[in-house]
Amino acid sequence: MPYSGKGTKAEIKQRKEAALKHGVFAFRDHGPSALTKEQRGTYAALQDQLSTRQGAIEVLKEQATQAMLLAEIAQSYCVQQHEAGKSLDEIALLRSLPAFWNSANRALKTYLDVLPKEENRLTLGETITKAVKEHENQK
Amino acid sequence: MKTKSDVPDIVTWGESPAGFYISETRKPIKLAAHQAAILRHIFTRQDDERLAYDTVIFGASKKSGKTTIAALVAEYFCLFFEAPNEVYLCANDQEQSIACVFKALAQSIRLNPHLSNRSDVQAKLARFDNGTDCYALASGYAGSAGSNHGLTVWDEL
Repeated sequence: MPYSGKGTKAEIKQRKEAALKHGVFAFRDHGPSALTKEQRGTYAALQDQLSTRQGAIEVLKEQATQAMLLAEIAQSYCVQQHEAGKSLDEIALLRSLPAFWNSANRALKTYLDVLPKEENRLTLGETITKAVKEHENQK
Repeated sequence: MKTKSDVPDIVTWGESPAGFYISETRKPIKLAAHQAAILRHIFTRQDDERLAYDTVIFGASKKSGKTTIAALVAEYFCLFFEAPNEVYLCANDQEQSIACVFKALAQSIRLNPHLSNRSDVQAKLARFDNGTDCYALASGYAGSAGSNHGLTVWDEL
């Protein structure tokens, strides 16, 4: 039967049970044991990645990229709809656009906080070369 | 590409406080005269900025520091050669590879104050923030297919 949007009481009950058994709530309440085999693999990979600083930075970078891209897509959809003749009131996504950009900015700021400051932005080779030269000059 | 003038030679770098650290002494390496001469010869860039040799076989007696030299070469390459690059440390089996060259490299990185927050040493991978990755790899390992490495270092073959 196609999904009606609201669903009967039985359907709602089934969905709630499914969420408890397979979904977010099950993981929240029961931890990794509630995950499927595939999800456990992802969980382990994520744990491995987050065990190092560089890995965690990579995750933040990915989140910032995704959030920025989502905001861009949402904005271009709104522009597209408006150009196609819809009034601003008719574009439902427009109301959520600030939320998209806020999320993107938050993700970007969090990522920027862990990036090295500009004054440290000598390349690794340059940094090491500078240290070697300073040592040679002290001799 | 870095030019001759802006890259320290391998011996000067290795023996400096930003150089290659030995876990036993927790200090930069002190190379013997013959080791320094050989390494300088191998890593002297030609007029066209290329190295003189594509393949180098370094043979020496037992307990003379072959593995340490291999790790030093790998670290030097990671820092100064065409980053981002890929370096593979190979051996007869992965355990041996990790136990020997990679272990020496990892310890050197950890002891080097200039690299502590600009590199990340994992179980089988050392990652530098210039984008170069150094992998410990078993010689029979199929996953290396399609790699785009700048250097492979082979030990205990």
